[in-house]
Amino acid sequence: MMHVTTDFPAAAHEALGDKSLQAALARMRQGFVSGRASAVARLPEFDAYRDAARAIRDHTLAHLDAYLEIFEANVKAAGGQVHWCRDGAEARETILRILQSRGAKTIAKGKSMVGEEIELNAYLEANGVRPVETDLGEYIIQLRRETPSHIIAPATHVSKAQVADAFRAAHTLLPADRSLAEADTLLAEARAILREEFLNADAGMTGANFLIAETGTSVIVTNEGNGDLSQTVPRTHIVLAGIEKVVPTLDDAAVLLRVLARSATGQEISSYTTFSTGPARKDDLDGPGEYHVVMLDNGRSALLGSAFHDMLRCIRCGACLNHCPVYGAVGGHAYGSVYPGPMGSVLSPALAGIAAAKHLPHASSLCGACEQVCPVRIPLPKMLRAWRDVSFDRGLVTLRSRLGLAVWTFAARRPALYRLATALTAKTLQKHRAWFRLVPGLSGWLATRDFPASSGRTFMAEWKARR
Amino acid sequence: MSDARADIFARLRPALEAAKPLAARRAAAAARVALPLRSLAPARVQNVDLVETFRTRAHEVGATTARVTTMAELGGAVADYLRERNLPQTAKASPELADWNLSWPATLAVAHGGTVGDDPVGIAAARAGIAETGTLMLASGAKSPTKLNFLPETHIVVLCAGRIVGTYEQAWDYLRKNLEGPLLPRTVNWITGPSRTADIEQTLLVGVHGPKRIHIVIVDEEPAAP
Repeated sequence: MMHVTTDFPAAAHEALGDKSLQAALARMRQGFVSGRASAVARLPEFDAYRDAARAIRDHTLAHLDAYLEIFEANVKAAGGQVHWCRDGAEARETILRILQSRGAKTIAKGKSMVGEEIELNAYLEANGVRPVETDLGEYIIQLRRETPSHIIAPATHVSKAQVADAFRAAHTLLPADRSLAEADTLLAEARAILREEFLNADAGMTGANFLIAETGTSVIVTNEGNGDLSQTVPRTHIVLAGIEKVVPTLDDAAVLLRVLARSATGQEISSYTTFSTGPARKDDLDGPGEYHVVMLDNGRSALLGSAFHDMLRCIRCGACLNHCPVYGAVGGHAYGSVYPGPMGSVLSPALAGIAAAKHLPHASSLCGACEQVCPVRIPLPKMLRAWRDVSFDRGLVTLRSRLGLAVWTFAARRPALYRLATALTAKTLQKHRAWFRLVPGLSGWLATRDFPASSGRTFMAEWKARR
Repeated sequence: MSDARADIFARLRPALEAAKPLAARRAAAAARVALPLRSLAPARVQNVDLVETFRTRAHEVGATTARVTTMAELGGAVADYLRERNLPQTAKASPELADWNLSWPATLAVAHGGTVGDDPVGIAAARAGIAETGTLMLASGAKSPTKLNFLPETHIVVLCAGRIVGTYEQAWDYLRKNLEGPLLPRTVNWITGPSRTADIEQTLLVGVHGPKRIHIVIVDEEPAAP
């Protein structure tokens, strides 16, 4: 089961006061939101592709077992191996066993959110294998011993100066007085250090943006080229993927690729989209000698057919994070899960249990921006509400919310009483707005806000009068 | 491990079974894989000059291009590019280019083979170009090493104009038609511009792990059969 640690209200409060984080979030909101908007404007068919993408994911999920069988058969036909893992522990053990049986001491890793989900690095380190994250963002947070704060931009919360500090602390063989003030100096240093890691790694691992049943192929989408070096230079290529990642055909992957990068970074397509099928062939000049696909369930199968079924359509673009006012205000770490933002607030309770993630469905204003930009049209607000229902039913909400709801329910079931109460409220709002500051529990909310001016009549009364 | 597999499939089946029985699910999946569903093709590649559209898109993502008419001009175009940017006149070329009967200028030292990372310039041949996003399609093989696409700082790609298609789907058609066996090549690379990152403060930087620059030489003719 996935791990979530959160006291969201406290963490959010802290995040709001963190100046460096706030500066980083301001940059992110600007870049990703305008990037997506212009990419969408350049492709008039974008919404048609969203519909097609959604249909592909729905069709695949409705035939998931059948496509997984075809995928597995085609991986084997290409000389690869498929490993099925019920949970994170099985996946970690499987990967370690593959590495140990090949005597691997280091593994170069392309970015994998599933790797973060199962906390693979800590496990490998504890068992004598050194994992090296090679995506620049992942490398930065690995050095800082942090979790990602964004699913596609893991170090988005880190400032340039903090990157320089992390490099100075880690790269101790380089002159201590070197200048690391500029981003391109940092880049050059990372390139040189990680190039050696690629060339010397005993094994390589990548995630998968898609798995293609038709050909038994795994697909990765990157901009840096690190995933390609991770999987091409070392002898063994291990792919770690959730079982929901499969799609039927190469053509289907093409449709999903059209919406993925545009939604994520605002690029039309990422620099590198790589389709890997089995190990290197007998006469190939390079490529890995072995190809393993580790297929992880870890709670995904339970979503099939549930109220959260549609979450399995997710292609992990991050658009819902980028457009979420709550994520934009507090960043990813406040969520206490490697999957933050709206998609994370739906997925984390599913993978970690609602008791552990009970704050997350409430970490939303339900404004609906996430659903508006989702490339596969996942009804995220609806599912956040569904989690709120579940957490209410299980008694996971605070006494205050429970009491408040009880009062409201009592009144709402008695229309005459409800009309009387709202009429009184409307009148009071018109004449004595300041009185509300004296209501216990409202004073905090009103410290930075005010109610709108009231006409003194309720909507129902206005409606009646105007009909 | 077989119990994990059986368990996972057993967890999936009840929810799926309600809508469609297993035999029907398998039949539907097999049919879709045998005959892929086609989506619409974007208007941007309808009734346009595909070569020029490809070049425009490639320039937008930071690639440079040159166009020559004959194979005889190719070597000179590569040497010109390197000279104009003051880059080393030493390149490792994909072995498949050795079959193309190219003539390299005397100033340009070209060896054929794979790379272990010490070549400043790599020259490869694209299987196809995709106009909708200026994307190159390269594939691994006995004469086309993948590392050559990633390790050198400068990546030069030769693309025959006749292999430029409009859409991703058309690129798959082209690749499927030209497969040598039942399998896709081990690695199919779609490459769109140079290696890049925005991981440090959202600043776009070029040349992270892969090539710092990519130059595409479009040739209007196909290579002579070896």
